[in-house]
Amino acid sequence: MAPSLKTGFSLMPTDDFYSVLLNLLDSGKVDVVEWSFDMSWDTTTPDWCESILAEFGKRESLLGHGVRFSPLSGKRSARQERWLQLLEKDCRHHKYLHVSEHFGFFEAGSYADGAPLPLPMNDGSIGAGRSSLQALRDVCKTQVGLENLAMAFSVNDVRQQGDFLEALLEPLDAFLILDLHNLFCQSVNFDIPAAELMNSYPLHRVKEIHISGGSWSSSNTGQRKHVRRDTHDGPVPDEVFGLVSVARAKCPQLEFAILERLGNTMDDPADQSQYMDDFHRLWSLMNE
Amino acid sequence: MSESLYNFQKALLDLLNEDLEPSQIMQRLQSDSQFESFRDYTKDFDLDMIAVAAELAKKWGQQTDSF
Repeated sequence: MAPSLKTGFSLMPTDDFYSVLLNLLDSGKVDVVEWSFDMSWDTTTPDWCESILAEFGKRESLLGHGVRFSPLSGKRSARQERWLQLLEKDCRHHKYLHVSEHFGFFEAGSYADGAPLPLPMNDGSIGAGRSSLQALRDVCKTQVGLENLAMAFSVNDVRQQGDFLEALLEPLDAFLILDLHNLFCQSVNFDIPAAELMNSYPLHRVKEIHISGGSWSSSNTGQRKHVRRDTHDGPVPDEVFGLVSVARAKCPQLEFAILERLGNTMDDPADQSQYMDDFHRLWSLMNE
Repeated sequence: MSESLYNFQKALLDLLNEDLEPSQIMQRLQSDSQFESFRDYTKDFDLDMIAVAAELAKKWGQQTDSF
């Protein structure tokens, strides 16, 4: 039997979110909340935010989503070991239904805390990724997964990411977060139909989808009109909403749909209103 | 864990953090011996995407001596 579908948002501990979320939570349409736990480890989480995390944890409707692990780094650093220790502690405090991270790496040498970058698929990278996923599961003691990446150095990265993710996820029977805006970025930037690209991913592992907005930057080369960026700071494009129904049809284990937006990007009431419209539209698509 | 992958990643992050044009980064990827084992991977890199990666590395990356 297919799981029941739940809609939610990625919670940000910022004032703009506080204004919007009071309204959204009152709507009765928020089934689940996702929390990027490691963004708050070196700050104090506001009380209103902790209340939401506690409430959704109690309802078994809280999802953990890390952004600072760099699971595909070739070697594990002392910082990453500390990250795992902090996650273990966090998992005793917050009751996550599952925990995920991002495909890619940003840490090596003296560099850390960046945006994930793609890497070649080979025995070394597969081994490093599997080891990271295992470590993640060992400390969380719950299901773990990875999210597909928007950034690609070449069309080969785009074409291979689905197989790469399957090689990483298969040994642990881990799940895939299919970020539909990331897919949209790759589709636009490399001129591949999004539905065709979606088929290259291990869709039987998709338990969660993400949607968000982004932005355009200019092309340095003139090879393309512009470059689509996954900046999480704008309205969700119609094309991405269109992919929600496609994902619902193709992903038999799909359970969660999460709307993402960066904190401090909705100070304007019009942006807050747009965000709420996007949430209601996503909810409608998940409840058709 | 993979020493060669780690060395590639470290060299790539160093390169992306230099003040270079995408074409200069590409040229280094093709000529610098640090990237030799990964030449098959880097030879098809797209210059627009190198520009994005360099911007991301500089904007979000942090250098630390603590590990």
